[in-house]
Amino acid sequence: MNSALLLTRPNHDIGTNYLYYWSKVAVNSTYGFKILDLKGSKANRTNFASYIKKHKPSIVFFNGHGSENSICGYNDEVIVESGSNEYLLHGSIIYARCCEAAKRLGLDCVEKGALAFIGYNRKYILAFSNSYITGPLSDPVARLFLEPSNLIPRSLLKGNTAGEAHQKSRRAMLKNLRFMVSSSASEDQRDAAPYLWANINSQVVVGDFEAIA
Amino acid sequence: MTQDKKIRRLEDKETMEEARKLVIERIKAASDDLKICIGSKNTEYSKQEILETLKEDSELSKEIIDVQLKYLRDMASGTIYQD
Repeated sequence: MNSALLLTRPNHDIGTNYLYYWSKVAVNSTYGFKILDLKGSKANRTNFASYIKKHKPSIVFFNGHGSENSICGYNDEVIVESGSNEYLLHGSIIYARCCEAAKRLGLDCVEKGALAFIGYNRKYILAFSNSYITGPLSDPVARLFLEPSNLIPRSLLKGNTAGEAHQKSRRAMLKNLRFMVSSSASEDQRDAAPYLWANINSQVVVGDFEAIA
Repeated sequence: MTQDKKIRRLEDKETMEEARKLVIERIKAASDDLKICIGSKNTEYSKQEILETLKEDSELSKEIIDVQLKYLRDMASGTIYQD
């Protein structure tokens, strides 16, 4: 495998647009990894397969919609699917910021040779403030959800194990949750707390906790 | 179906209805500006849309009720304050 991170970040609806912006700030080449960016409409099945085969990235960071057996790209085109092309992720550590993929696809990826799969075994929920939809990076509600999950790719790039990346992110989510239930939080932030708690409980690591990219 | 099973089903249905009412009241009291993305397609929901969803017996409605109830239970038990 090569020291590279493959990022998919479609932006065809409001939810994916938030992930589009927030995933870009999560990764950079400071730690010696090449960043391969499949953004917007480039996040499609053909490009994904081609980039994976050519670059053999040690980390793959998906953003978008998903289900228990698939992860989607631009316009919800399925780019990885159980029983179809999950073998492409052989040798990689994967973080899938999407719904439910850890439930089955994660297991299938690991069975087909992926080192570890970090994802969610229920629906991933993103809460945001309607007043900030034109400036996702300034959204004080979305920040509480996306900053902690950005710690996963960032930690992997720094050389942490898959288990450590998961734990760091989980601890940061818990810290944010405690802020959200405090009197310092805004009404929006407080009302979003049940959704962050759901993400905390559904984020899991499948495969080797000790895997390093 | 035995009498016991019939009674249990009725109780489950009543409990589910109570839970739905509780969650509807919580969402009504929530901020108008808050939206959520959940699920796989075209998935942003405003407060009003969540309230509409909660009237139905859909997968999404069950998911939102589950999320809210788990949060309330875990708040009450103190689980969310543990590491």
